[in-house]
Amino acid sequence: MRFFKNCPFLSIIVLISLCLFIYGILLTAGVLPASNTVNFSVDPETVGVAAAMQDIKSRFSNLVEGVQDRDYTVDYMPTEYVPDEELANNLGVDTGEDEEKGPEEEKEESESEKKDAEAAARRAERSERMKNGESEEFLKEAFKTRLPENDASDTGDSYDGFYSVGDGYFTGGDTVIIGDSREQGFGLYSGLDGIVSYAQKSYGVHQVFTKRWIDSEVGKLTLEEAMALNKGRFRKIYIMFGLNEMGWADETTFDNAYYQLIDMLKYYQPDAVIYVQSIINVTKSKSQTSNVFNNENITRRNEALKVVAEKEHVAYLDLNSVLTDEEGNLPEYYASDGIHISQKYMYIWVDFLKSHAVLSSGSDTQYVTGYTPEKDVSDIGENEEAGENDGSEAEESPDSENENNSESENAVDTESGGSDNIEIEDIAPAANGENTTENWETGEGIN
Amino acid sequence: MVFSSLVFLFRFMPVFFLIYYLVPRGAKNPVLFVGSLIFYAWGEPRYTILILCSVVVNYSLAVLISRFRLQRHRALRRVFFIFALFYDIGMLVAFKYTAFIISSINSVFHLNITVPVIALPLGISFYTFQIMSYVIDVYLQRYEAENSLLNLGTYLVMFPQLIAGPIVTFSRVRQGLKNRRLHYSVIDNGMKLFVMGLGCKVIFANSLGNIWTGCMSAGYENISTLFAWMGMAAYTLQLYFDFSGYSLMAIGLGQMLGFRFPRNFAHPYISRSVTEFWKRWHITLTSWFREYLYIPLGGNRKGTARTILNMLIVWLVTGLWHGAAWNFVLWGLYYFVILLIERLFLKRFLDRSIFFSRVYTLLLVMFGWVLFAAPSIGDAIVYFSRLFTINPGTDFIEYFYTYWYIFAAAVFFATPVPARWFRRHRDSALTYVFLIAVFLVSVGILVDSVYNPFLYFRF
Repeated sequence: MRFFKNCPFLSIIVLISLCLFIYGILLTAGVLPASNTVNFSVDPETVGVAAAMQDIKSRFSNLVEGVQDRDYTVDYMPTEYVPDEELANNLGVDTGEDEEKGPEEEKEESESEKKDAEAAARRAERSERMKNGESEEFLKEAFKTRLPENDASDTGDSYDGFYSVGDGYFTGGDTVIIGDSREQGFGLYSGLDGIVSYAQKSYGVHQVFTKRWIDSEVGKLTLEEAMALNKGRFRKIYIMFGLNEMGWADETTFDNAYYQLIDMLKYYQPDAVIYVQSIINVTKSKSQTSNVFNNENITRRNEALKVVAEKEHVAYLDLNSVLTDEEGNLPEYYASDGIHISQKYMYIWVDFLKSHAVLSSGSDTQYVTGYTPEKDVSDIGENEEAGENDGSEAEESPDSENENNSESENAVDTESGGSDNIEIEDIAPAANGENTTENWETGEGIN
Repeated sequence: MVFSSLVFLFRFMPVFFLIYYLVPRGAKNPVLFVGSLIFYAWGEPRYTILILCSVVVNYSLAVLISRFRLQRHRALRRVFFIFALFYDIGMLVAFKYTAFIISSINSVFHLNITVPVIALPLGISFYTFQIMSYVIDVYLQRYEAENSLLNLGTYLVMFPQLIAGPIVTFSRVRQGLKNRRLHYSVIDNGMKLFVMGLGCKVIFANSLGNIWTGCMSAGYENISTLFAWMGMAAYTLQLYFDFSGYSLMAIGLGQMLGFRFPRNFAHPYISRSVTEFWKRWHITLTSWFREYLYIPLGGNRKGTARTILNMLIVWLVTGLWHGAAWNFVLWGLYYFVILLIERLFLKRFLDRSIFFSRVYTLLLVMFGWVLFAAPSIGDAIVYFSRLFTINPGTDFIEYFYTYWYIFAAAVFFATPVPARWFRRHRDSALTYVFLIAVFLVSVGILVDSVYNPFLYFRF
């Protein structure tokens, strides 16, 4: 007791730490309900205090910003995005009561409470069936019933390959990038103008609904709010998340958060092609010195991301196929800090995106310079071919310009003619029958 | 283990200090010794043997040196002494400079010797210098060799200063190791210093580090002029808060253990000359070099030419001590040139001015940090070219908006004003509230950042 009297400051710190410690134990034991259910494993050895601090912080920020954290721990499947009605009212944005919707969804919209119960029941049923090992058939079944039929964002099963495109594909103001500092670096140093960047250092996939940082006329917005505000504006969405989340203990949390992100994007940007970019590997020296940020972990996460992209029927881009050496390490000279690609070598990334494009609308055809029929393109040789095509574009410009013009006219025609979007099925050159298909084929014929 | 980690704060520290305070006086040194070894071995257990070898070898040789103190044993004494120096410097060179030396030989003679990859043992530069100061002092008969192996071992592996200084000489803790009293008020003050150091490191250094990392990741050749200046200023502050914060934590922990460690930083960025800067920056290192290298070489008592040569040697070694690469050598030479000019004539003018001299010092020191931080000399040249040519760009804006208040606060806390206030109001309620807030915010940030590198960690 003399100790407490004589060392007041130390005693206070000890007391605070003790409180944190006990609170953390109660949290992790499940005695007290945690506000933030995202499972952060900042430091597994001190998880008690870390959990307590994390919980206090999230409660505090909820109090200050009035943001509710989302729950990523329940089993989550694609296409369950429920728009935030309050958000719609606040922003004065139409969340799409009059949008085209599958009949099921429309019903759900009208009775939100009932829908919640249904969703819960569905989740329960799913987890039950997942446990019983019926996952594969079950997933197929789930997709059959739940996928809206005319959804351009569902590229996964319906694209047979990638187009090669010119700069114009990205610079029309309808391209948005979402991600962490590396994606931010892409936005700053790719040399492509007009890309909207919602990428920020230390941005995490779990923050897209909660972190208010995007500047707009109506103040700071979360990504969800920004997407609602720009509803239908974007046609190409590139996502890269994962490196900041490497420390999470529970990998399904990451997947769940990613699913919810994609579904939200699909909802607000129904016409957009969504690209899930693989987490880029780090350099050998970086990989060796970190037991969290190493290429082994990144590869594992990328495998999971690939599954996410497949389930969501969106494009998966394996950037590591061109950015890493044969051992799977990012070359040391690509990134001075081992992580962030410097501007000098950014062109590799840009070229990869250019040679791995899915067409989102008729007007994209004018940028097409080539086509790679393989679904999984990881051969560097083919990319080089794409590069050559880029070069040859200039030579053939007179011809292709003419054709381009006629195409875009056609595209406009089709658009005004009623069907809002060109379905991705039609993009695939193999598909035939409809008017638009011919245009796409001419697009291919440029080369 | 680093001080600014959750494992240290909430596992090691409570458990260690609980045991340390509860055991009787005689058991405190063994507890400290074992605790420090656990601290050291936490991340990299394999080099623990190296530091233990260093203790045993230097202990034995110092005892021998002390025993053969008579005039007729002079030659023998010298042999032991040289052997000790050879061992200490040899280990340092072998583990720290092998790769540098071989790659330099390769590039000069166009050879192709394989460069071995040797992981640097934690804190080897620091503990080697500490033990060398002990051996040299014993050889110069400043004090007797320590008879207790445990005491010497405790001195060398003592965890507060083990991996990143301050460089504590044996003479400073010699009495304390034998017999020290713990005062409540000193313990409490130690905790305050520790929390302050933690705040410096976590709140200032880690977040300002993001700006410099931003410059690095953009690539030096791409950044705009303003971003280059901003990055340089951020690095300047980051390095100071990183290192002085660590020293402050070490001093605080020392007080909690019952030792008095020397001050390592005295607000270096308010210096009015580079000469003064080096009296305020990393004081224990500069005084080590003065005491154990500059003065034995003859100091300034052997004529101007010899003085200049001595300075050159000291600054080359200082540069190399900071890192095994040519840009550190260049960095050392850079300070040699500036200090020489100041010594010859400039200092007189600088002492007369109040404003200009500070701007001059700060600019030169910042340019020095560019040499220091750049991965190679070529990169440093690129960075300077970005600083002094006009490169428009908007890459700095986001960093500015995110960090301007931390920048402003960091500048304020680099001045002596807050320290002076603290000294006067050590026990006021406001200090308590402030420091508790610092503690909570630091822990809050630590919980977030999985990634918490320490700049001087691998020295």
